[in-house]
Amino acid sequence: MRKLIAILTAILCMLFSSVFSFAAENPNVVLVSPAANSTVYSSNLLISVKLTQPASIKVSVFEEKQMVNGTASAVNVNELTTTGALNTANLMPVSVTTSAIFTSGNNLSFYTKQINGLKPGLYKIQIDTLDSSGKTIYTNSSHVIVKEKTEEEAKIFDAPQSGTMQFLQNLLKTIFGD
Amino acid sequence: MSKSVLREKAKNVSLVVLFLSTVLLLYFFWGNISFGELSYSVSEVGGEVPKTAELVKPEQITINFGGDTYTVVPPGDIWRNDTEKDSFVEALGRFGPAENVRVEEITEKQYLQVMQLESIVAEFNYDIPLADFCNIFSIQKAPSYDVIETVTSIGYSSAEGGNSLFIRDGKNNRHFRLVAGSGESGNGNNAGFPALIASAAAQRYDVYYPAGSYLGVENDNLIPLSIRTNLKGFPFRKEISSDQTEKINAVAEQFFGRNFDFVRKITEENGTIIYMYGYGQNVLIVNTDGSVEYKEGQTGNVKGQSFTDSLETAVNFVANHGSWGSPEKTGLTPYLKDVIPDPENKDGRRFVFGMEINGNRLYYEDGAPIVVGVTSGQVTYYKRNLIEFDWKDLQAVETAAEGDAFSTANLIAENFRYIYNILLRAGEVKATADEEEMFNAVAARVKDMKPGYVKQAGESVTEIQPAWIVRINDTEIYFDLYNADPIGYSKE
Repeated sequence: MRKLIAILTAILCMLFSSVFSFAAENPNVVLVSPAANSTVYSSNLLISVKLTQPASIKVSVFEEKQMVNGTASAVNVNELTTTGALNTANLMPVSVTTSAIFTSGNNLSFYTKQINGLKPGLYKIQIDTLDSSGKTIYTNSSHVIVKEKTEEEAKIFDAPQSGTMQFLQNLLKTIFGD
Repeated sequence: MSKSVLREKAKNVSLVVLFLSTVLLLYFFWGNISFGELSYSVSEVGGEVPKTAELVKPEQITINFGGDTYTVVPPGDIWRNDTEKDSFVEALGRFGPAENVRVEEITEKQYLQVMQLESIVAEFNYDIPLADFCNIFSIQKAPSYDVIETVTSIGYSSAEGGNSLFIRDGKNNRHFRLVAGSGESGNGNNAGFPALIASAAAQRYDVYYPAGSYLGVENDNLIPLSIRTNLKGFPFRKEISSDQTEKINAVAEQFFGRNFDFVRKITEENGTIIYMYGYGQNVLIVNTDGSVEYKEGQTGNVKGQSFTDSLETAVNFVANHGSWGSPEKTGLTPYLKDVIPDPENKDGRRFVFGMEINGNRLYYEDGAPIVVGVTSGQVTYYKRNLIEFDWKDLQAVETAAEGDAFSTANLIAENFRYIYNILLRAGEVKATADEEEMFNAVAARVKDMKPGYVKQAGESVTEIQPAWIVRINDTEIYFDLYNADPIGYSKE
């Protein structure tokens, strides 16, 4: 019985420790850009990470793919909204670039990098805080949607006035000011 | 000949002499010619006189490639080049035709909206009267343009078919849209601007983002993500030293003529040499830091001289009093850095000229290379503080391998306390011990960051340094380009 309890305790400890190590976020690491669950209308993505303690971090960018008929495909971003919670249960992260390691000994520092050539899809930015042996002790992550700017350009200006009206308006403004 | 006839002839001669004297005196008084001006003849040395179109340059050109991808470039060839082709100025000249251009006032919000699309905009440090802007760059001006007083920024946007130019009048904080008729190409002959944007996109460029995107504060001013550069420090000499007696005399001759009539020379204990004409109407001071300062009493009375005319007055004065030098010989290319109202509130302006070295701007911690004050059509203030250096030192810089400059975001992170203290001394922020508050205050105020050369203040300084120039409000703060150590700062 004692052996059974000891084994169960050990298993629970391992489970909890692993759960915590994956779930815990480093409060001294903040992903400034892109904002959490935001949408970016560009194929280039700025990553800016703010560190408020000396730390070593590993920054990775994944594209979240979903299995469609047995093949990994990009998430249909038109069906996603940034306001609702993302259902990541059926997603499979695929690395976009080689992870970058950044180490700072200062109480305030930034890791900045631009990722180019992204296609429309759902992306995850993951920041692992490493200990001195390179083992992950915290993980911060955030999602961003990359979309093409296909929306019709918003109308910025009203219909043009006639030349006479414009002349009169300009004349009045010149005389009386704004 | 009788005595009476002789007397009459003498009277006639006297009358003629008196008449001529009267005419001469009236000429002096009505023509406002001072006797002081005739007391010495100043030798005019001439030399190369740069055209105003070569001197008037934007501070920077911002390009939005669309999709929130920006770069910022120095004016260089993209602004204006000797071939008069493939440049911003050339594209401005083709916009129109002017008689078909409609001018609309737009809101600042609309101006910012169009600049968020694919766009290219030239931003000046000063407000140029529109008529002078068109005159300087040979742009056809339509009567409809008269509603715009000054040009501080001018640019193109792809908004609404790309048939418009957009102008910011900084003096009055107004914004305008110039809408062309169809033109030959159907978009107001505006094809030059998309071509410039495409050309910039095809080359290697430094990526810029709003400062707030890196630093986590509200700040839309663009700063680079990182830059690769080969700027290196190099030694320099003062253009004039207090022990160069002959050179100093030659300089003084340009102001007072060769005979130095009515001119007193005073040498102070610290080595400063002062030349004074009369009772101080005209004063020339040769300082020990190598600068030369000249002040002249007001005699001119030209009212409301135009921007272009007063700039030409200033440029010609410099050409005849020390020269502009030749960029091929000196390595320095002058440009109009700033224009400020006369500090004594006289009718005129003070022109501040900067220098570029191989297209990179040279910043002075103290003063500027050349400052000329023109009031009522006359140069009444002139300060010159130029440097000289050897070509081989510059060639070594040109051929050096490129390296990464210090990260812009980390420069702010490492130096926010230093910057905050400068702002505190200037009364722009309040004292606080909260470091997060200090960082946020600094990060939110960064206006721009650009690489360049810095000449530190002090007579013992002998080297020009490569630097990051961080502009916050009207203060320029200098940091080592590669390790971000503070170098100094300058407040306008």
